[in-house]
Amino acid sequence: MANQFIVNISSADGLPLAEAVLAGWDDSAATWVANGTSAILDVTTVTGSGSGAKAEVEVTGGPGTPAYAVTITEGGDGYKVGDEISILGDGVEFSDELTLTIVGGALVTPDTEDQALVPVDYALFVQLAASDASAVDMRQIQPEHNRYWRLSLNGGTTDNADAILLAVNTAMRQAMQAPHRNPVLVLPEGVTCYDVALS
Amino acid sequence: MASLIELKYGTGTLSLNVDGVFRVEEDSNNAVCYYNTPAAAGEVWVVTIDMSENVTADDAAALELLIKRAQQAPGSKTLFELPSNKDATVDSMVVSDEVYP
Repeated sequence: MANQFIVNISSADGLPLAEAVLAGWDDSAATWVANGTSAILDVTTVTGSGSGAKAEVEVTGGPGTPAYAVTITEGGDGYKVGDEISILGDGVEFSDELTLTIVGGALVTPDTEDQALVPVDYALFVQLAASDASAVDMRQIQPEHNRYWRLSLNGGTTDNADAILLAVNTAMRQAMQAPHRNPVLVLPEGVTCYDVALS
Repeated sequence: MASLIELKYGTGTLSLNVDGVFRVEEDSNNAVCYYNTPAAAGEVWVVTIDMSENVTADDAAALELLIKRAQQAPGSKTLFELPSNKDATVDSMVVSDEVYP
């Protein structure tokens, strides 16, 4: 029999933006200044509760027909379809703002299951994948394989990172020390897991 | 059941599965645990434990002794504190491959 813990999958509290080129921005309010690639700019939430995303904007074709290509460099947390977001130019490549109403493709793709099972038979330890606790890895070794289970999280911050890591460690330890019990991962309030994958 | 050791971290402890560990050494002020799991021909997996304070050779020897005891008590989870500094906490653990010592 396998030893594992259960992770409830949810995107109810929103998702990070996908870290990729994000099309569909309304540039009618933006003012061209120069062609080039901007510094990393904050993504501002106009409607909704998402936060933390950042982007860079490549401006081409100006001054005649300027085009603004937006690449999300940090996905943030808590974005939902229908939220409106904007990017305010810093006046170097453009000023004023770009706006976007989020569609499904703009967000990371969550796991399609309601629950995921994380086997611990080869588990070694858990670690933060990033200091902002956007993901936690559970490392495992097998002959000629060094892999990890990655739990991708919404709601992780540097402030709750330790609490998140200890919560995942508790679930792993319970599963290892109490075989066939299938403990459920209990994350700190406001933190949800939207994807589990073996890498 | 797995044999675990616990390392101080924040307000709690982090667990390390020590099943299969056959040797612990001090290297560059870290503790290196050798696992009896092949990484490639002539190589095994190791876990390097970086603590908030320097790990000494005596610390590594104490950890090896603790691990040997834990391995004989399946289901155990024993707290490890550096003998040279009991307030030390774990900063990171890293998996890598090493030539079989």
